[in-house]
Amino acid sequence: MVAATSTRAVEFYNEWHDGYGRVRPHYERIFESTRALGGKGLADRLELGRRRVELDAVTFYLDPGQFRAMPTDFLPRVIPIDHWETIAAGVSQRIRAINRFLVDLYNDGQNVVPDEVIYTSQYFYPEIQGFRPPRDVFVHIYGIDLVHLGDGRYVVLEDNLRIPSGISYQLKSTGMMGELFPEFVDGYNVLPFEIRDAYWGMFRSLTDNPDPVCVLLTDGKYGSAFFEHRYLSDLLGIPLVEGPDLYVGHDGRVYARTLDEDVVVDVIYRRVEDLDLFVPGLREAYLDGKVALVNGVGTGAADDKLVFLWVPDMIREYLDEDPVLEQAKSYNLAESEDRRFALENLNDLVVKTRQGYGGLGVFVMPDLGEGYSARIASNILQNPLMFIAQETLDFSQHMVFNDQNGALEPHHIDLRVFAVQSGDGSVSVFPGGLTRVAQAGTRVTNNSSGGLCKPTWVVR
Amino acid sequence: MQTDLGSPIETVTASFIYAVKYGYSDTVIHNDNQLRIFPREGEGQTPYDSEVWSIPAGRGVEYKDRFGNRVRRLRVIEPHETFIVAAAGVVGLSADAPPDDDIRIDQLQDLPETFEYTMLSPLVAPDSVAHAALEVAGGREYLLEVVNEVIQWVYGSIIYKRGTTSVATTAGQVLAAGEGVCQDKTHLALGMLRALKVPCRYASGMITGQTGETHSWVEVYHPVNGWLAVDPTRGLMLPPPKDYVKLGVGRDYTDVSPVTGSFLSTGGAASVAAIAEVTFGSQQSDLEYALQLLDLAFVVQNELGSTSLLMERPERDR
Repeated sequence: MVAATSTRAVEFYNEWHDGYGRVRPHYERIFESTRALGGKGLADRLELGRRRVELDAVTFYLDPGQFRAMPTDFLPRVIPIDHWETIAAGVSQRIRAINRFLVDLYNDGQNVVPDEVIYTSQYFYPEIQGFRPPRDVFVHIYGIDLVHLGDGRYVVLEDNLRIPSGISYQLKSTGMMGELFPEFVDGYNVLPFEIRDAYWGMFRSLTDNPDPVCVLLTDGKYGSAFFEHRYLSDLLGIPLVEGPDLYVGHDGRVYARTLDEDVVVDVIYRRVEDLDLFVPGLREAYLDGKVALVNGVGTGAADDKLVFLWVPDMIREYLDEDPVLEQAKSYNLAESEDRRFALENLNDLVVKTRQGYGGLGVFVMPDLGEGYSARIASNILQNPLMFIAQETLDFSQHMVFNDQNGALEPHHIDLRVFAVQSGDGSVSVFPGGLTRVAQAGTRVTNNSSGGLCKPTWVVR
Repeated sequence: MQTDLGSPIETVTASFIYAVKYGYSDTVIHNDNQLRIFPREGEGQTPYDSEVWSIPAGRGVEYKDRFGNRVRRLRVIEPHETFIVAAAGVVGLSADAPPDDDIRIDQLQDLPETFEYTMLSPLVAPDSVAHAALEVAGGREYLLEVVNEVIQWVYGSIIYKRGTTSVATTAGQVLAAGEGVCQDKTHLALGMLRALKVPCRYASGMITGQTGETHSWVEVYHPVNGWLAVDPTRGLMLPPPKDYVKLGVGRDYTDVSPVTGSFLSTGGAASVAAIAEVTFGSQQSDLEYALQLLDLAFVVQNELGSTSLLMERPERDR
């Protein structure tokens, strides 16, 4: 087994070692434990872990209905508390600003984002103009994608405001790691990670019913994140329902069918995008204020990758604060100067389709080679409003165990942090997050693109 | 030629109406569109009044796109099987002073205001028609001379024929086929002019005094006089502004199509009927009149299949 023995300075910041053979202090104990286990011991434990992931059906489907266990790398990522404090402050700031922006946007007030940009977003819904969601919160559950450039510089790549997924994999992989590698846990003071109270507090804050009926609306067992729906439904103690289990009654309220009698639903934690496709009339019931939806309708207008360019302006405008977190420098290709710059420097940039998700439509030009750039350039010229360009970031890597040759190899990692905003405006940012691991040689970390996940701690 | 800014400018008033009706083979549960059916301001046209209707009404917002067109984004979520959009308005049309004819093409290069209109666009790839452009007007220096050669060539060489091309036909395909409608002739002329380094744009609207369909023509950029209309379908250099009501401009049809969007349905697009009319006078038409015209309009059964859920609009400029 080789770990941190290289004396060569590495190209990318490595979370685990400093590039000169020295393990970073907050990884020393884990490093000692892996050494004590030895190559064979480590491989055996990881094999056990893989089986447990399969037996627990911790799945993330790439093809609908095709069983696929979530590939998990159990060597934990450790985030020092001082890094975390910055992250948490920045995440909290962003979700608050974005929620203020959305209220303003749908109530004719916003002047932060140019009209053409915001109104051409596929997820901007003109029909909800004038609508205010319960307690003025559109985005209750927020997932933000960050990368670490090194030495505590975390940079935002994307906001996920529609139905961000992944929190269950964070919980599950971190929990399983503790069982598989009890020696890792020893001696670390890990910030507790608990979502139940924050979620319930948020659900309660959205309705006047002191004992609300909450359900989790899923697109069913063939959906890619069904594991997460099931897991969260168990953890939160709320029924898992599919479209046909709900209906809109004559009084406009939403009912869930049960064996005894149909019950009025107060809050729907929805994990489906097209509401009316699953429950006819649900959208209207929501707009009439008969039911609370988590997240609300129309939030996607703000996680459009082009609108992202203006989030720092939202923070300044609505909170009167300077952004805590940097974000990747991005270019609006519909604007002549930006487009000219992007076309001239295409080989150094990342090009993303505006409304893609899950890593689809992400072109990391430096990793793709020359052959692609002519095609991408021609697409940009033809449809400049469909794409954005972003600087390519040399973000951090982490050691990942290669079960083929028993070596530890560096892979790029990112961090999806989850936060909840309640009706009273308070924000909980859950310590750590889902660390996603890119396949060797790529910088695309999305699980939809085949990436692994990694347990993540914040340590004091 | 000297510019005579002192000459009295004659203004005429025209009233236009535009309507389109889409039929679907099954219920549509959402229909999301961008409407570019407001009269455009500038180049001799002054909108006095305008109104837009849709059935079902839906909800919309308005903005200006980067080409300066006024756009209404309209989403309809009431279930429906037909969708009607109509617009009416009154505009003043006046002639500008005749343009300087001693402008050379090399004076038009790298102007920031024409950046959008010199390059590749979805239906116009200048490279694909450059050989024809060079043959027709290669070596000529003066802007108006080059433009005249190109539009006369397109007028004379491309046969006006319906039914052989579609909304997605490119400039290169028009050149190869040698036939098409106004939209195709406009695209080919744009491609050839761009290949000759003339900044030019697609203009969409209608012809005054006619009842029928929408029309398209070319506008070329003149550094002194601004955007000048030329019409390759009718073989007209600088036709009088009172002959046209303009709704939008863009790089090609895809930027100015009066209605673009998508709908969600288990069925498909079954039919489309469109009507455009411009009369002289200041009496604005109403929705009733638009609906009457639509009833008379020829219903085009479009050839799109019925399996895809999201479809582009099929109706086009003639």
